[in-house]
Amino acid sequence: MLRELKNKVFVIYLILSAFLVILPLFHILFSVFANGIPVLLKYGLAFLTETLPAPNRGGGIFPAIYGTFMMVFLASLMGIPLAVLAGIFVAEYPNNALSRATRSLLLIMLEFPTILVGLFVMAILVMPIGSFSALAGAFALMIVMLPYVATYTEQAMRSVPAQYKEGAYALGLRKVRVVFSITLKIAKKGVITGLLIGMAKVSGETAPLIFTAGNAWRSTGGVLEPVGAIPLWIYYLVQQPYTNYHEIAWGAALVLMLFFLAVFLPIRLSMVRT
Amino acid sequence: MNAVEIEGVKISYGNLEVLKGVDLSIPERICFAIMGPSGCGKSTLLKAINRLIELNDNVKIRGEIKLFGQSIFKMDLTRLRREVGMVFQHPNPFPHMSIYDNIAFAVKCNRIAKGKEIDKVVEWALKKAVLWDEVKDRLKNKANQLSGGQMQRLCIARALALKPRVLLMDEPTANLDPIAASKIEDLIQELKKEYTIVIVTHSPAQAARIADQVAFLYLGKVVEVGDVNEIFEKPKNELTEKYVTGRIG
Repeated sequence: MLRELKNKVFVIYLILSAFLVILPLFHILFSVFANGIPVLLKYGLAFLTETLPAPNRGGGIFPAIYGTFMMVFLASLMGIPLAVLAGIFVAEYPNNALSRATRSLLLIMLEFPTILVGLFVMAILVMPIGSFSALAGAFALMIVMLPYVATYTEQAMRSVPAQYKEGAYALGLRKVRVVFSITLKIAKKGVITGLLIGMAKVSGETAPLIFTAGNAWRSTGGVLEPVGAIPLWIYYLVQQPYTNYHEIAWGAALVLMLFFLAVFLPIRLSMVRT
Repeated sequence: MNAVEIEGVKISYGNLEVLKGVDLSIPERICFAIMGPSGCGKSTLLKAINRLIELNDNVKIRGEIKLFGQSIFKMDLTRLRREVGMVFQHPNPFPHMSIYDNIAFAVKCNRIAKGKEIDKVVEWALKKAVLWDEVKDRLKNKANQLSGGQMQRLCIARALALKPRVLLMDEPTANLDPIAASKIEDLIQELKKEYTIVIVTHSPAQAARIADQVAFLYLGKVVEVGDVNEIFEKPKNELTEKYVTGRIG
């Protein structure tokens, strides 16, 4: 009897812990939707196309969306080829000293405080150029993105069964051909998952942008000008004393969340299917 | 001239010696079976012939292997693997490619044919592997939609497309149902008229069915080698007799 009772108590305890762990997620989802949807309804489509209003007027977050898209795009353009190649290298030469060091360092980079990435990029790009810029912001995001994409690429490459590689070598193919035409193609899904997760991850980053992208409320400038970003706007707007800015921050949070979910949900679902 | 000549081959992984001095002469255009229990080194020996074994880390090979009189260690690796095709234990057509591309890809990479000729090579290879009639209407379908036996015949076609002279087969029927397996065995009977086939099997019954000559490998050494009738009817070695009668292995 006592053993059964103990067992039941323990199971309940486990379920409760699991529930407590995911509670914050549901709370965040709920509060962002509950506070964000009314804002989107109130501001209408203009919320996505207009710039920051004066206090207590209607307006939108277009410069933030613009900046986020531009910087994530630039970061991907610079980072993805590099990260994919690094991932391939680590996967294909597992016993090489440089590859072993790279793998450990990538894991450290995954956990690295992103505010320090921002400071680093400020020192090497913002100061020499003399201005905050989308380029500097994108560079910082790229550094945050690299380990995600590289690690996912490595895992995907490693998960390709050896029999396909052997089969390819047995047909007289050279290593480069085997890697790029066989292994990478079979691993494609995992690599793309890594790219999307890396992009989704950095689209929500604030810390690396504070010292690099600067910010812009009304302008949508070029690569070498300061730009806004959705998380950056949320960070600044909630610190303002105006109600409409707080509303806009909630609306921006919802937009960011929807981007994020739009990338993550298909990935999760496709993983469930395989 | 013998197709394959193996002279004093010793292979070790790290400190573990898997082959302890193997000598074999494999004549042209026969089916030569290497049989033995699991772990006796038969796959290692087979993969040494197309140097695939060298993909493993810390593998050490000593001795000499000759392909039609020429040392394989002095041949260009691509040429060696073109002349020595291989079929594996798990049917491994490239899952991301179509049936057509599985054959055409290596044909293109090895510059066997160009343009329209590729279609001809693909058709020829599929016919040779007795798969053409089953797949001719769906060449653009993904290869992983085929059954296990069809996949294995596709792998055979893929190897044949490179016009090899020797075909290595590493337990090609081990993962197939009996009907699919017997189709492969029939195919081997057909192919040995033109190609030298070296097949690894852990089944003495299969060796007896399809091979002309058999080598019995045990614990990294050749115990006995000879014509299939000799090996199965009057083996000289006690171990061979025990193996073919199912008392070891």
